[in-house]
Amino acid sequence: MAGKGVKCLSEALRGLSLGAQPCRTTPARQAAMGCIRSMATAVEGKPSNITRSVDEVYTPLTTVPVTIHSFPTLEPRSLEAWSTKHLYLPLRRDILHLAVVYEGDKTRQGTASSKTRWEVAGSHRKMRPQKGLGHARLGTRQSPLMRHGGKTFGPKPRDFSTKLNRKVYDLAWRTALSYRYRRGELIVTEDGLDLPLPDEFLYAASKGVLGREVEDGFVSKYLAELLAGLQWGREYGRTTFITGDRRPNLFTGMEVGGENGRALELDEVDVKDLLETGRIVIERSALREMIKTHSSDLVQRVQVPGLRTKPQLGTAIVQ
Amino acid sequence: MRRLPRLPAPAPCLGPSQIPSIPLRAPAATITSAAAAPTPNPRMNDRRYLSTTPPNPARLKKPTYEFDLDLAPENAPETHTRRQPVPTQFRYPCGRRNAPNPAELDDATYRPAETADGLEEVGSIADWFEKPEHWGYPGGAAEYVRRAVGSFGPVEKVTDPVLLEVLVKRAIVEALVVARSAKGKSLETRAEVEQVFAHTADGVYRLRDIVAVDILPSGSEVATLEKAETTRVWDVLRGAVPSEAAGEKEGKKKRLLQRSLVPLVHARNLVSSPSWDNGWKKAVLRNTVAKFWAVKRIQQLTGHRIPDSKLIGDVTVGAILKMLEEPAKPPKLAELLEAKAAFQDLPNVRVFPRRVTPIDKDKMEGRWKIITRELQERELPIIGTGGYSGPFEKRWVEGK
Repeated sequence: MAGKGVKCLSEALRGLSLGAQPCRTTPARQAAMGCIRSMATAVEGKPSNITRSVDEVYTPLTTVPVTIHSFPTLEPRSLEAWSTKHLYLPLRRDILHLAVVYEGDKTRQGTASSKTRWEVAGSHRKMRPQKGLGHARLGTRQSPLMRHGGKTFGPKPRDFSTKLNRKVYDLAWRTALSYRYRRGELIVTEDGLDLPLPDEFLYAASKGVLGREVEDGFVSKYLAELLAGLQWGREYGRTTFITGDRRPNLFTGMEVGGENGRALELDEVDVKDLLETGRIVIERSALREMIKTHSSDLVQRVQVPGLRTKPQLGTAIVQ
Repeated sequence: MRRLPRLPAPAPCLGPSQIPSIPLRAPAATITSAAAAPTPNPRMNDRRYLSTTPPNPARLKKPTYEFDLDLAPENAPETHTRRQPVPTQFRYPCGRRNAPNPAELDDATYRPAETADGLEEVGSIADWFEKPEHWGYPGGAAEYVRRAVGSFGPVEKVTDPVLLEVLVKRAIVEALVVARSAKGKSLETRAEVEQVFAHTADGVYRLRDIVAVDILPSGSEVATLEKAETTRVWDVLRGAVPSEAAGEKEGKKKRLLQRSLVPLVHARNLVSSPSWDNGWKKAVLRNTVAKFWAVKRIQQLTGHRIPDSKLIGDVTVGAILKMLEEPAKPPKLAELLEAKAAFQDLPNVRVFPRRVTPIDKDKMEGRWKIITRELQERELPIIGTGGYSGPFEKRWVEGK
């Protein structure tokens, strides 16, 4: 008897579920549809089916693929699976804004300084008599009213840095990377990302016969053509290269041919750098290190046996 | 390694020699890890720095756990730090030459120039490599870089929709073969797969056989291959690799042949044949490994790189094909109106493809020729202000 009661209850609940209802259209929406006029930019398509039956098992996306390329041929060499919490976060413009403002504040030099009347050098003699000349009363030449006098409320060296919770900042890093990933603008290369300069040029450079101007001219032109071939150059919004440490040829090349992009060491990168230029080219170990150091918000304090406390870094699928 | 010294003047030119094969300095650390890369320690305040050190062979070896004093990289002989001469076709600038003193010349008609007018402009030495002839190829730097660096796949992307359709189907079939038989898992099989793909990089080899495979068996929506088909296609593909007995000569010939692409006529014949069914485009690609090989093969055959984010979840083959095809350009409003003949009945309405400027109006009235002639007579600029400022007296009149 009790079993029958439970069965009835479950049937009733299933009837109330979203999936059981054949069509859910609101009258307001229907009324509006009648007077919508066709526009050139309107996207016509069926609304996505977001309703889900209780019978369907909810299997959210947990990992996304990341292809590791060789540079500069861009041949896909291997494949890794990365957690969606690392590289497939939804775009949060507010968090990116917080991070960029935080970095901007932090990098302000804050050295502007002006002298108050007490700091301006000179004699403190009274400039003119208190009375009898028909002029206003005037004390010393350091007065803020005088030319070359002190500044009343002028700037003084100070720290402009603001605060941001570490977890929010780390979320911003991964949000920026995810944004690039979603747009196909995050290109991961094998370790050892460097600019492959031709042997014949390097031989001449090692002999020191070319001179600085010619060397720079060669590297600049070579780099420009290389990036133009990849559609990564100036016309395509420049390219940011990120490596674990300083690679002489890549970094010198990018300094010489800076109109086509920039190269950054991992320590120099900020969230703002990840959002600038047309694409980010990063070597595998640098990406790994970047995500590893910026996942403080993913650590769970509650530990469940058998469950990981934080998502695993990229695992190889095809090696 | 060498820090580049700045010479006061460039030394005499290195003589150009025969055309070399173009060897590039492979990034040393592509084989080792980034941490183990032979990283120099440049002075940080020295802005200008190039590493001319060739990769150290001792460091490129796989790490062994047996400690050998003689073979330790620190004790290895420093022969690798010296670059060997490489024949080059670059033309380097020669040293500076001074013109003879006019007083010492015998030529009585010679008169030194007093102004720069009419003299040939040779440019500065910094622009030396801006000139195509100094790169040793008629196409200049672009051609040199294209040959030296190479690319994975054709340099020009395949854009023809028919060709794309055929090549994508081939790529999907081959990817399913590789993924199904778990080829490419171990290093040996991976190398074999790479070899097969390299020998069929043009996509021509046995195209009809491979494309005829059905990737969507009845009753299934996921792209799969029958086991027998997998074996058959793999055997067909392996036939492209010349056996060692055939010798290096044939291999070279094949490599040269790789440059040719699938002829368009051949692809059109395939697609228009009655056996070509569009049902395979509905096949869903679900296997991540198959997707990886499909992307790789599509890039090799067509030159299109598909980003990872486009292939998350279930993706149909048709959707992949659609990504590669360039979307048709939306028609302009003026073209649409002209095609529809929208305002034909209205005599006072005309449609222009762009803004009607005052010059256009002058041209319609026939005034523009006269205006141009009068401006030319007065030596005034025809278009624009010619660097003359606006009427500054206007500010006085307006009291500003």
